[in-house]
Amino acid sequence: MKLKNTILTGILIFILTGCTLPLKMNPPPKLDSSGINQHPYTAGLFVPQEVKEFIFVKATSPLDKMSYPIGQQTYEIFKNNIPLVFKNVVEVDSITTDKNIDLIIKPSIVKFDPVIPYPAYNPYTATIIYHIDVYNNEGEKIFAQTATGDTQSSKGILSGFSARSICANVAQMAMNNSVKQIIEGLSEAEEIKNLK
Amino acid sequence: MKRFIFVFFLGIFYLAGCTTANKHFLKVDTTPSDAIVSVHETSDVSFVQIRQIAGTTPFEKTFDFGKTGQLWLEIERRGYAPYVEKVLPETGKISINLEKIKDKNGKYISDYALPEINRILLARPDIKIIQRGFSNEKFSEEKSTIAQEELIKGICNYVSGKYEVITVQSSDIDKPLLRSLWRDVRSAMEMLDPIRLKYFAQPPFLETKSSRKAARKLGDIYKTEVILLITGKQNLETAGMVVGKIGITAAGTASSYAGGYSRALSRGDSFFVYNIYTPNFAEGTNLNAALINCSNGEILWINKGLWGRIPFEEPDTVKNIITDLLDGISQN
Repeated sequence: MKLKNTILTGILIFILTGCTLPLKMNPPPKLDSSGINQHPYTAGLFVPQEVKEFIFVKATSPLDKMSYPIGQQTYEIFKNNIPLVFKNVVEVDSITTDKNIDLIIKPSIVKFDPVIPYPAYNPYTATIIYHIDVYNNEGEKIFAQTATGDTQSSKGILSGFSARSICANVAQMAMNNSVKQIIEGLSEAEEIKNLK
Repeated sequence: MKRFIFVFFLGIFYLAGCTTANKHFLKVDTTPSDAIVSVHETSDVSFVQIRQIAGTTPFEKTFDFGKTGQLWLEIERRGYAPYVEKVLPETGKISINLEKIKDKNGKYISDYALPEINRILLARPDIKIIQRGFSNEKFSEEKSTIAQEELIKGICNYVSGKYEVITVQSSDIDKPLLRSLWRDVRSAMEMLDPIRLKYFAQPPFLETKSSRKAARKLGDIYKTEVILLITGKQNLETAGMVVGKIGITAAGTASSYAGGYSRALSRGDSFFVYNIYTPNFAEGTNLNAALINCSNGEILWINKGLWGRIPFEEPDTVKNIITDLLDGISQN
């Protein structure tokens, strides 16, 4: 009897812990760089700690919730893709006025809005809005851009057990979509082209 | 016993008191009038998930002051500094003199108005038709093209006689300009409140210089004053999914019937209850539209809406949707 109770309690704890664990997301990809002009500058990437640590939690029932590690993914996707637009990229921990750095890029998350459907055969959607501020090496803001990425997926919905991976994939697709627009915007920005 | 009855009625009296709304009449006026008033339950009006609009001034109505017995009214009007006023149940009437503000060049911001429009530049609507099955979905290029064509035709018909509509040709010159424009417009469509847009203290503009320049270049190329951009998507369910959903709900109803019948038999009941499940089809259309001033990149008007399945091959249906979507342009 004791063993049975212990096993049941163990299973319950295992399930509940599983539900609260952040979604497992694949490392963000390097996006397609075709049509992107690289600026010959050294850019500093400043992702504030609160952005890196941002976890979006969505309750799907009184016992279950989805935790999206959006901050960590945001940090990684910017780290992977900002080098597409700038010759050199270094990570910085503030808006410094270092003369070796030409400009500093500071991303932020404006909004993240995933939809986990009920019934499960409706589409899973996600919208993410990123904003970036770009500062010159005197700490003056020279450019700002906001980009919206949204997407949906019905892939694999026949199996309700894959909900966590669908949620993770949809969130990542929205992020890729938004960051691609940020990269294009940085590439075309006159304020950056004409940086002195 | 008497004591019990007394406590019982006291309880009812107390509970009834708890459920009575704290509603009071309030008259709101501003100088100048036609300012939009939003209602907030806290003094922090900057972050709002669901905005409650009370109306445009002057107006009088009953407000529910709730348990806290206080509300904050946020008053907005184009060209005037936003104003927040705390009101109490006993306030009864407020009259606010709004303060005129200047733009970054030191000029007073003028009232909301559309520029004089003769020709509208229409970017090819970015509408995607997605066909969904149980285990996958695919973008239908053929249906999307039909939807785009029908929307263009419908828009031309809707504004004919009032404005001339020129469609962007998507040439090699246009494409990079449109790409830049779309980037900023999509975020504006997502973030700006269509109802409050014309009341914002300062007019909203496209965020980046490249997109403002793109709007100006397109306006110059096509000799148009404004550019209209429409984006959206429609989800359609495949025949297999429709049949599958009907099958699932029929099976659910049959199972509920059989379960109820067998329980009634075993208990000897003369009646039983069961659930009738009806299929729920997730077919819908989302459309967003924005009108941009080509000369300076000002976002003049935005609208968005959700509709059910739109059969784009039916001109009358498309006409009704366009009338609904673009209604605000002709009103301004």
